[in-house]
Amino acid sequence: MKRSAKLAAALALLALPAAMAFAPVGPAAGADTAAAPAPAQAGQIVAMRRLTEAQYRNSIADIFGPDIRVSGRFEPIVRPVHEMIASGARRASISPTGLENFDAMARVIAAQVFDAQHRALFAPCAPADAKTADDRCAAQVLAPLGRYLFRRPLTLDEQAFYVRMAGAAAGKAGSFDKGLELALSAMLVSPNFLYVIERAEPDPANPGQLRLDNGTRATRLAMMLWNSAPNEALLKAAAEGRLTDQKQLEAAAAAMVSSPRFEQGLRAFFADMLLFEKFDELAKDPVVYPYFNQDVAQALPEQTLRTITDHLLTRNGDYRQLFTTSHTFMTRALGPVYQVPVHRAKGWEPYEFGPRDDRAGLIGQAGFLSLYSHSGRSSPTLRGRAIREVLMCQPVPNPPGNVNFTAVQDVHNKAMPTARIRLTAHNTDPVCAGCHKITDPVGLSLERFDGIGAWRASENDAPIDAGGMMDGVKFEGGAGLGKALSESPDTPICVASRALEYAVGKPPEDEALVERLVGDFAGSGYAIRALFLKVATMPETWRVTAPVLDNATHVSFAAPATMAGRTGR
Amino acid sequence: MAYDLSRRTALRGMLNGAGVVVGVPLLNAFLDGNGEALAATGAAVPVRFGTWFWGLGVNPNRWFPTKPGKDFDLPPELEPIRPFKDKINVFGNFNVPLDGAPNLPHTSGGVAVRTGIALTADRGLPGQSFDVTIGDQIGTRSRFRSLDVSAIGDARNSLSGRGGGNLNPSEGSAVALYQRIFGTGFQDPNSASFTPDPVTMARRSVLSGVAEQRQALQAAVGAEDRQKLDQYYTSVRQLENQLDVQLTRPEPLQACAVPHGAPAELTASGEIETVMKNHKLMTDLLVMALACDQTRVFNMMFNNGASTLTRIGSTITHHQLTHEEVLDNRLGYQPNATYFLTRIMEAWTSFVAALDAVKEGSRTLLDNTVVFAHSETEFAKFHTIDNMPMMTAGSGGGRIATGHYVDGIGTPVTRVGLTLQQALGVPVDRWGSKSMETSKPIAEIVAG
Amino acid sequence: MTDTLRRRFRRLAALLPLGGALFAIGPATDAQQSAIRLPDPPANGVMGFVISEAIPPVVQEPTACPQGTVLKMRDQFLADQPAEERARLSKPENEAELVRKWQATAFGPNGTNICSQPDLFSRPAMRTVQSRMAWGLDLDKPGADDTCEHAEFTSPHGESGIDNQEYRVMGCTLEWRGTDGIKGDQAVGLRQFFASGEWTQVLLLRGVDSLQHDEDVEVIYANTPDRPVIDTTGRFLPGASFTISDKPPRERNVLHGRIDNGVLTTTPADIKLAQTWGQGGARDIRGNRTRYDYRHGRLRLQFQSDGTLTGMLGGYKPVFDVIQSPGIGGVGSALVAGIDCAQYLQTLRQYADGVRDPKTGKCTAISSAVQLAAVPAFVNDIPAASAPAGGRASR
Repeated sequence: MKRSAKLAAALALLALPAAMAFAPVGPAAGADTAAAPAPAQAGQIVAMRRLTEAQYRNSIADIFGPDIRVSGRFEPIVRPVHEMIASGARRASISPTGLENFDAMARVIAAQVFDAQHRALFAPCAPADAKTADDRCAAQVLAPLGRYLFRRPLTLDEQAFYVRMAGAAAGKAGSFDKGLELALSAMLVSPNFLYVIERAEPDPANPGQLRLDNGTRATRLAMMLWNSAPNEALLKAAAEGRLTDQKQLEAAAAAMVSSPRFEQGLRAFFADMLLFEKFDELAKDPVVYPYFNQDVAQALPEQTLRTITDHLLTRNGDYRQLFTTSHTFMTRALGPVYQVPVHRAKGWEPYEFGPRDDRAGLIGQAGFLSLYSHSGRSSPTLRGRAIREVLMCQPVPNPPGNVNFTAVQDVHNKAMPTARIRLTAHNTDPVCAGCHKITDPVGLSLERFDGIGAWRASENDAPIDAGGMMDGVKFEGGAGLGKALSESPDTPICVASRALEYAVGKPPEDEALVERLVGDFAGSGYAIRALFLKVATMPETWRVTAPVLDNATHVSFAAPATMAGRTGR
Repeated sequence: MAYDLSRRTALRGMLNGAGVVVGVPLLNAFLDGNGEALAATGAAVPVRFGTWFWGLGVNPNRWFPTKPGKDFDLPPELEPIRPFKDKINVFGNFNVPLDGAPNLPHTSGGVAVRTGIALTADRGLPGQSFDVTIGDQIGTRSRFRSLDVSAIGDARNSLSGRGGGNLNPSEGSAVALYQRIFGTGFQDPNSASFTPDPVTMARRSVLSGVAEQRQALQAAVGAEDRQKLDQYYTSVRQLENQLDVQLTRPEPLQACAVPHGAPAELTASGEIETVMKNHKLMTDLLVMALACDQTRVFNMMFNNGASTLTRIGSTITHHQLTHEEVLDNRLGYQPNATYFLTRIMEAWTSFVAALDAVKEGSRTLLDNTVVFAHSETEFAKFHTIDNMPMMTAGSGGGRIATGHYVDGIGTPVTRVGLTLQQALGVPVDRWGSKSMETSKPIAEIVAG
Repeated sequence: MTDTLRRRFRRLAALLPLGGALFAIGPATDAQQSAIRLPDPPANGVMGFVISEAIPPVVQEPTACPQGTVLKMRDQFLADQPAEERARLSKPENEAELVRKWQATAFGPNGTNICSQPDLFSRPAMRTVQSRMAWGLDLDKPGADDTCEHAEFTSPHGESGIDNQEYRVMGCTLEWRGTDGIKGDQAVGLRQFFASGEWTQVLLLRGVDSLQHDEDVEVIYANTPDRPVIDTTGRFLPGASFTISDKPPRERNVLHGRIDNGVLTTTPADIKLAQTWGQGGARDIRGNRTRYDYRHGRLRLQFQSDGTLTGMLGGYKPVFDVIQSPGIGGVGSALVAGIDCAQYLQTLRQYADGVRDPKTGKCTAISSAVQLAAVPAFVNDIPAASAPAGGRASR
């Protein structure tokens, strides 16, 4: 089957670098066989992980081109407490509203794919009659698109089904293209597209155990490392059975972490690990913080991500130095918050803080500092807690329900001008003191940054004491905290454990495995590419414990919503 | 409390995964709303959208409430809306950043509100106005895609169109409006034949297709994924039901009462009393056009941007007054120009009242409609466009929560347009251009 | 008070009297200045500012316009009628006739009108400022040989020799003076244009060694397309970055000055500034046609202890510049705002006191003043001209 020039070009862009030209182990197969009988789906489903918004958007852009507009609202995936959205995706169902939105988006996308401007790029054949069905041509169009969307070849049944659907609609609408549009819409709302479906097969190396099959491996590599659908090379490798071969798996993953597209994957990982969804809700009191506005709010997560990818990828830096680096990026919107000059009227430019700025890596950025503050005041407790939970993976208990917060909330009390004094007063209550001991001494070192991360030397005219302490080590200011974090064994453990969780879709349960991973991470000089490569290639991450199959044959639908709606109010 | 933060604890802390399917409520505001509408009439009641425009803004310190939220105050010039306060939202502190484009007096502001784009040339619309976008979503099945009227009687008095410099002309005569709706071509909707919408039928078949794939997946999943799959298919079933309702012949429109003959012709004039009368006649016709499902979208322009409204015995226009009448800094407003604003707010309230007077099942026509009211300037004397005065009335069949004063804290005006488009089913996640681009709907007014 | 209430209150407060502070712009005496403690300038001697206010100053005192403000065209028309006719036309039933007649005075032959072609009309004299008090600078002291005879003002601070004939002519117009004894619409409106970012000006100072005394400072006074950063009440926030533009319509003026007792004064030079506010449409999109031109222009700015600058811009404006905004507005300015452009221009010519044309012996420009305020900013010069200026002393 000949693909159109555009599709081929789009896919060529995504193709793996030449380094990944591994030897085929099975019969040559690929796009040309997509319409041929697919292997029987013997694979047992071991996980269904809902596509995130970014994965959906990246998939559509990679498969159909970036000029295909995706517009609509995505049902958010709920983050489980102390876990990643990647784990939430494994548990996320799709609500009626969510499905309605996916349905609307699907129709908008399908209409663009088969409009006059684009149809030639995706339809390698012309129907006998543009006004009616043509099953042969429909199959030639739909089979390759289905393979990219479902991340595996369509089964014969599936292919026949979509061709039939296109044919029926073409007849009714008097248009072959309208038929294709409808069939594509159907694929885009199918659970086979909206969920990453992970399947397992018997593991020859461990009789009685299961391992993820080739198709699943292709998709997991693509989603984990590039945050998008598998490209032609990966689908081909999967079809040829090469991704269950350890050496070839390693070659494929190595090429992927060296690719520029790994940046997209790494951004998605850190956005998940660092709870970036909280930026959507970030709001500040404009009277207390006149410098905070929408432009600032939008720039904050980007500044953090640029710092991360610059340090970890461009500079190939040590992960631990993310908490000490003085390098970052500025834009006009952020200049006033930091009170620094910005040369370019538009876009980002590199910036390096001086030693007196006391801004140490991620924790010295306005993004972190404002996210973990209240709308009208800073919060050593929130900052300390975020450092414990987000950066060190140490969950802190929630406060009890009946606490009196008056002392900490009254920021205008001249008798208690600084947060340190207010918190000390609050912590005379032994019920509170236990937890505050864990968080506050950490967060108080950042008190020279106000609730939006702007510098201040005093609060209510009282000088700020930025002394801090973590796990028995005393230090001064943001720089001291950054150094403590960079020297803590928990920060690399945390990111390694998150990487594992991100790949598998659930928090790691095997301590020894995490220990081994951290050991290798240390061995690489805490290089992020090495960490992800290791996670992607450890045989343990590809093994699965067999779930209990649910063989119920009778399926009962829940009561229709319209009926429930009547009793709903 | 002892709390050991050794490395071991940290690891254990990480290893606390407990497999629970995260429950997603099956019922959401959208279905809830329709559910109630269904309970009332037995079939889906159409949702309507319209705009109500007035020119020359307000006196900011006498119009905008000071207290955000449900319990907002009514300053003197907002006082007329009191009877419908619970069905109205007021928006303040939403800005119109032009990114260096000129602030074309009486034009840039209104165009930005409707298109999310800063004008760079003097005429027409630079992009599609969002009332048209909503019309493409909800208005395709009625006789008129939209009815656009101007109470001041000016055909060019319009902010609606598909862009490229064109504007949908407004109907300025109540008699002509009557002829257009109820003259030749009018078919009593309660006796008209019913043809199901082919687009809805196609969507329905997509969903059937999805449902057919269930078996294949079902056979291979474990218990945890099975729950997810069940919820997914429950959602499919609900969406199918929703479409089925749309494919069923609707119940008779009880509120539809065809007017007996055309209203008497009014001599077109900018004189405020005449415009009020014309507005009343046009409102009554528009209300019946909605009740008889002749249109689901409308644009009512009360006056024009550079308002040519006058008072009896004076030829000095509203627009002239805003510029000529000096701002008394002690008083804080212009009394003569303000007279017109007061009348405009009365007209707006009467429009809302007319919609609310029509019963549709247990609700009113207003409840099944969202009317978006706005001006083109904040304070006309200086042509300021930040802090654009805007309101909505009606809940659009339960899609919009009402009775709020929303403080936009300087965010772009396009958030209102985005919220309304999303509420009325337009698949759009971001809207507006350059600094006016937004992906943040106004959560306070999204029902749910 | 809720936040919104507070904001609203400030919005209102912006319209209320500003008291003496607004006009504390005269030359500080040595005694006054020594009371202000000024910080050291940045080590590199570079300072940037963004102008937050540039408004023609008006002295609000009762003797300025004893007859009241300048008549609008309609009132002027009535005033020109015999008493009997005036009484007749003022009756409500004759409103239409009155409008027809006064509006006719705005039009000339062949489609001309009083604001687009003000030269073609001869109009009655207008009310001018009668008192001797005005804000401004002494523009003609050191040997200005191209001036015309004029009466000088004394500032409210007692400084004599003030040249501001533009104020003499325009100071009784309703737009400048207002009716409430506080300020005119012009002051409120210009403040809005600055806050909205329609018209942003910056100052870049180089070679500043001391804020008290410095014999040579380079001053770049320029337009920028960048918007200022303001809070929700319209107050300019310090520390934003701007880039100077010298691309049309914008201007970049390189001036030289000295600092004495904390007051920076520049040597007279032509100062051009694009007017990018207010005008719209095909006629004039953001200053493509309109600019302010100050001949023999100069700045006198006083450093404040909070890092801001306040002061005055003075110079001779070509007379037509004063009415170019209503001029571009055309007949609408006359019919909608009642502005008699011909009357203004005629009076401006009468009082023109600078840039004498050697051929005619008549002055072509009029002395003028603009009151300025500026907050610290990071100002990037046009590319190829040095690194950005630190807006405030470094920590």
